[in-house]
Amino acid sequence: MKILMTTWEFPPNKVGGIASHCLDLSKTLVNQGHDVHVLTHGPEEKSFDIEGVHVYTIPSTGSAPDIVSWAMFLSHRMEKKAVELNKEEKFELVHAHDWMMVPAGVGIKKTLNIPMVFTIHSTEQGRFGIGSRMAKMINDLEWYGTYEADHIITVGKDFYNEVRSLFNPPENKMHYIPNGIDIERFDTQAKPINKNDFAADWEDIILFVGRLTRQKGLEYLIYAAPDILKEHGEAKFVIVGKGNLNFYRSIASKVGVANKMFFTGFLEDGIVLSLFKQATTTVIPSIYEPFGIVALEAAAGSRPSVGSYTGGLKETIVHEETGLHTYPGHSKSIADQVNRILSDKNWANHLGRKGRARVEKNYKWDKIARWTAGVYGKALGLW
Amino acid sequence: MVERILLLAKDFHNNEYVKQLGSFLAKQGKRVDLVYFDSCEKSEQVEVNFNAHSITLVLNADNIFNWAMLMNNEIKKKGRELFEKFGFDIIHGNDWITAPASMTLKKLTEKPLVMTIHSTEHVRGFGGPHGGIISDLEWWSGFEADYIISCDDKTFNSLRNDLKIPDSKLALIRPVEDWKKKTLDIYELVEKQKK
Repeated sequence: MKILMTTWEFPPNKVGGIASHCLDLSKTLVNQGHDVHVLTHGPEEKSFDIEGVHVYTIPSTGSAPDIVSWAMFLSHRMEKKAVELNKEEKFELVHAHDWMMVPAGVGIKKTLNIPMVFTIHSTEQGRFGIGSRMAKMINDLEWYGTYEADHIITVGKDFYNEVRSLFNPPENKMHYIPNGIDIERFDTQAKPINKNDFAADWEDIILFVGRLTRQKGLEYLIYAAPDILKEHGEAKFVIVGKGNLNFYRSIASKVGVANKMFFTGFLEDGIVLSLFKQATTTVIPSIYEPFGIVALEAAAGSRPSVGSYTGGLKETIVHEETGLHTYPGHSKSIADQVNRILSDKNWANHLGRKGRARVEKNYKWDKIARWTAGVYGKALGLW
Repeated sequence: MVERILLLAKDFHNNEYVKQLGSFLAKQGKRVDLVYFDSCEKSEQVEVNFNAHSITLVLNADNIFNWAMLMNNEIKKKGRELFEKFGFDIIHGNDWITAPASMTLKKLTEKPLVMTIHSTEHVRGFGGPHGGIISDLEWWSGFEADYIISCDDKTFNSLRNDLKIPDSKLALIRPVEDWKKKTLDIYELVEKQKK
């Protein structure tokens, strides 16, 4: 199949998880014999290949007063590029990712008269709530994407129901396909790290990886830290991710754990992979998580995770099999479960091994990409 | 010779420019199809050779810029469908508000694009938060169009001086007696240039 994918972020430009998702999906589709072209944002118009995927970066405008208008302008420029490329490539379908690419996806669908597949990774309602005109516009664009798309992919089972109840699309065009994970990366691309750069030899790393935003619930882990340290003084919290560092540092100071909490900021992928493997456990204290890829990343590193019983984490962690669930937004619950892991390292290792086996069985990109191609086939009326 | 023209405009019934131009061209024996926005989708014959097709949008937007960008997706669809049926020699867009569809349809069909810019954001004074991005669209439409028509001196000077559109593709056609004939002459000129 000849697939045109649109995503506002794509490596090397990575902000959230969509960039990795689109790269892994598109390169696996290429390996399976499909021809994948990706339109994405970049500071200048250029094209290059990554592992057989044809990538085209398109700038937006410096004059946009807000993110929605910026996305609209970018979408328009992407669609012009799509029309140019289509003269040679003859795309069979367009696959748009998240609300920012809805105008591009719809514009390309209507201009080239090809089907549109829309992957919705999260909703504005879930991320921030609909508390402003702009949030309402983003929510409306999400609805518009589900309305115009021929097929909709949601990345979590719980999230499937969220999208259904929010936007009410016909069920026969909705699909649940989880994110995949590139397990081999953990074996081949993890960079050697010096543990002492993050913690002392005798300390157990309790890892957090994610954007430092309200949705990720880092404050609940910080508030849990004193109860964890009371039982396990050897714990060391390593917080990886960008965002409002000062806000979270000040909470750590307030609860008296600043010296046990290392905020790394952004780290390159290879180092994060190693940290997943070195950490005793990874904690995912999210209050909203449509999928919860971090739990799978911890599992791919053969380590257990402790995560909120919410959204996609309900399925990416199997309680007492691959990790432990906590009540969402509940520091005491986090402390209790992290303490259980720290108290029984053999059991923790056992959970890690089972997690790795489960990821290998269910979440390899090869399987996820074939599943996605199945949806493409439906959109094209092949079956 | 230009025989079929696709006109794009935000509205029709209150738009004297589009009404008079469409009617004039139809009387010259040209086929004119106008795509414009309305509260429902319909096609009607305005007069012999002059058909108007309204498109509509299923959602509201929080401001005119975002609304226009989404509305243009519907114009592209209708424009493409009409192209598939009739083929056109010229696409004629009006103002920034139809610029995205005008530019995209030009790329899709490789037919010449004439834009009438009735006023620029520079002339209007950048009154709202979207003034800058609207001006960007005006620049892009000036860049991609084969010819740009303005109807008054102020706008003509703004297109020339603010948006730096070269004189070679810029025309000032004031709305006096023979403006419709002059517009048709521009169609013929850009078609000839394209060939």
